[in-house]
Amino acid sequence: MSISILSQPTTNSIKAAYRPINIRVLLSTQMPIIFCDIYFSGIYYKTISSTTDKLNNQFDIQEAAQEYLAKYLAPNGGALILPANTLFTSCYCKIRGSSIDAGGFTVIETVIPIQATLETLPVAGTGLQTNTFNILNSTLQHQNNQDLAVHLATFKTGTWALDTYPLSHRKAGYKVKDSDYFPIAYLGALDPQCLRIDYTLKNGTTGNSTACGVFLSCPAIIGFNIFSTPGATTQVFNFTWDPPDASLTSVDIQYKLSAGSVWIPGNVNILTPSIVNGNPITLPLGIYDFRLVTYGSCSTSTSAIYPSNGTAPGACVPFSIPTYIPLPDAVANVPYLHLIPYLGSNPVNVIFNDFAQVIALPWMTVTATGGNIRFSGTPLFGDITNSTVTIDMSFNNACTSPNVTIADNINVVSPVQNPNSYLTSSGPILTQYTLVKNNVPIKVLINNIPGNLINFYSDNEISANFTLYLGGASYVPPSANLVSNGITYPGTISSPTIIWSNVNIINGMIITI
Amino acid sequence: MAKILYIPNGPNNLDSIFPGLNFENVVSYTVSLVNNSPLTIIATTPLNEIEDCEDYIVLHWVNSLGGIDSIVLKLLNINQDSKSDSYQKPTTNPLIKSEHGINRFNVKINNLYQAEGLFQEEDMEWVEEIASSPFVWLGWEGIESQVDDYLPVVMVDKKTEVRKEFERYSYSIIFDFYLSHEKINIRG
Repeated sequence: MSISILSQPTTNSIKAAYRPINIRVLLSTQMPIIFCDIYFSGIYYKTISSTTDKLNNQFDIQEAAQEYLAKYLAPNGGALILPANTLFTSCYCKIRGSSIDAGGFTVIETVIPIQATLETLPVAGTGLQTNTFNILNSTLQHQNNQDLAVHLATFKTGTWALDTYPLSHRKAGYKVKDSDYFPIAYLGALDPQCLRIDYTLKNGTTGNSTACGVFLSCPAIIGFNIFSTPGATTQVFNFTWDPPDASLTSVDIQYKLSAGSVWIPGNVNILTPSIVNGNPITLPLGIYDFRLVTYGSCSTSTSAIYPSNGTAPGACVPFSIPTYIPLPDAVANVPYLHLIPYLGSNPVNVIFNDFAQVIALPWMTVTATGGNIRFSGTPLFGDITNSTVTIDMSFNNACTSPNVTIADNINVVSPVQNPNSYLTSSGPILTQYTLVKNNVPIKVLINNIPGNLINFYSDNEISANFTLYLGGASYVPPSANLVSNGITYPGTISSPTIIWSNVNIINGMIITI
Repeated sequence: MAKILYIPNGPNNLDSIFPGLNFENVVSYTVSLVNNSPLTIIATTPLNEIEDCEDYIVLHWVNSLGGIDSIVLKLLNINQDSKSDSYQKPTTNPLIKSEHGINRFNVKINNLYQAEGLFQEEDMEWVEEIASSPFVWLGWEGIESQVDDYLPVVMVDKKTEVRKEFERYSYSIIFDFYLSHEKINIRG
C-alpha cells in the first residue's frame, strides 16, 4: 500500500484562501478511504477525506483555510507596526491511507492526529507529508493572474524587497485622512523596526525622517525556571513559567554550552495563557545557557540569557531515590533480595539511624552500589520476628546535603504449607508455624487451629528429630502429639518450639496440638 | 518567520511617530518600512495625498487581499430612517386625557448615510472592492472620553457605473450605507 503525491503547491509559495488549493495523490492500490490531515503553522487543524474508488485523488483545502484565517482590524490611530498573522498561515498536509483486513474491516493508517480542545493540545499524526506552503486570506478574480505572488507584485510602487508584497490594490494618489494602515505580507527573515517618511510640504519643500522602535516587541515570559535532573551521562532539563501574555503564541527555548557560542534552536513550545510548562530537553552532562525567543502578535524578541544550568560531567551528583519501592517481608530460610534504584555519584554511605533495627535484623546486609540499594541476606528460623521491625536509614555521598532518609517496616515470617499436603524439602510460604527436621526445615504448617488434627504425608523418615516452630504466636499448647505407624510420640513443648525426638515416619504422620 | 504587517499610514497614526512633522503642512508623502541593520527598505506605500476637509469621512473595509483599505469620501447627508408598527386601544371612559389610543411599538430607527467620492477610471476596480466587501467600518472620533474607534456599517446594494460612455475623466460615486447597530428604544 503506497501513496505518492502527483501535484502540490511548491514550497514557500503563497496561495489564496478563496481559490482552489489542490493536492493530488496517486494510490498504488485502491483504498476504502484516504485522508488529508491539514496542519496550519505546524499544528494539526482538521482532516478531510476521500472515498472515491479511483487511484487518482484530489484534496482541495481552501475551505479549511477560509475557516482558519480571519480579518484583522488595527486600532484607530495606532502608532505601531502591527502584526496581523490571522490573515496568513503556513500549511502542509499529511496523507494517510487505509486497507481492508481479512475480516473485511477497514484498517486506517496510524498515527491518527488529534484536534486540540480548550484544555488539551493537539497531537500530530503521521503520513506522507506535502511541501510546506503559505495561505493568505485573499481571493483572486477571474481576470487576475492566478499566481498570487505575481498578482501582488504587480501592485508594488517604489522600493520593495523581493519577498515582500502589498496587500492592497490602492494606487498612487491615495487619499488619506485621520487613521489608515498599509497592509503588507513580509516573508523575509529580518525584523523591521523602523519607518521612514518622505514628504512634500505645501510650500514645495521635500524632506524625510526615520523613526525606529515602531514595532511592538513581544512581551517577556515571566517567572522562567529551569530544573535539571542529572543521570549517569545525560541530564534532563524541565522548564516552568508564569501564565504567558495572551499575545504570545509560541516560545523557542534555545540553549548552548556555557563555554560555547552557537545557540541551538528548535525546542518550540506552543503557548496559551494556561500553558506554564515547556517540553523537557535531554542533553549530555555539561553546563548550559538558555534563552527564550518569543513569537506572537508582536515583534519576535529574545530574552536575556539564563546562564550556567546543569551538571558538569564527572562532577559529584547528589544522591536521590527517584521512586521508593517498599520492603517486602522476609521469609525464614529463604534468601532475601530487594533492590531500590538510586541516582547519584559513588561511593554512597549507608547510615542506620536506629541501632535497634540492626540488632533485630542481624541477618540483613544493606549496601548501596552500582545504582541500587541492596537489602540482602537469609533469615533463619531464629530470626522470625514477633513484631514489626522499623527500618530507619539514611544515605549520602560527597555532595548530598541533607541526607536522604527512608523509613519502612519489615517482618521475618515463617514459611507455610497447607495441611493434608505432601511435605517435601522444597521451600514453603507464609505461616504461623514451622516444622523443622534435624535443624533442616522440610515441613511447615499453616494457620493451625489448636485442637485440630493436622495430617501430613511424607517420605518415610527413620529416627528423625522434628521441631515445630510456633513462629510469631504466643499460644503455648498443653500437649502436642505426633502419630505415625500407630506409635504416638509426645512433643516436648518449650515455646516457641515443640520437639519430637527419635521419630519413625512410616507412610505419613498426624500432629495433634 | 513570515508576517503580515500593518504599517501606520494615516496622519493620525504618523503624528506621534514623527512629532517634528506638522501634517497640516504636508501635501503628500510615502512611508517606507525599513530595517535599520543593515539599512534596507523593505516596502514602500503608494503616494499618499492628505485630504483634510472637515466634512469628509473615512470608510475602512476588508479588501480582496485580506487587508484593510480606507477611502475618504465627502459626507453629503445623513437621513434618519424609521419604521414602526401600531395598534389602537379604545378611548377610555371616563376619559383619561393623557392615555394613548393609537400606540406605536416595534420602533426601528437607523441612520442612512450618503457620501460621495471622485475617482479616475483606473481607480474604479479598486473602488468596486468596497461594494463587494462584507465588512465595512466608518472611522469614528471618540466622544464622551472614549478613544477613536470604528463604527460598523452596512453598504446598501446598488448599481454603480464603473465605465461611462462620456466624460470618462472623472467618476462621481455615491456610497449609501447605514449603521450596523440600530438605535435601542425603550418600550415604556
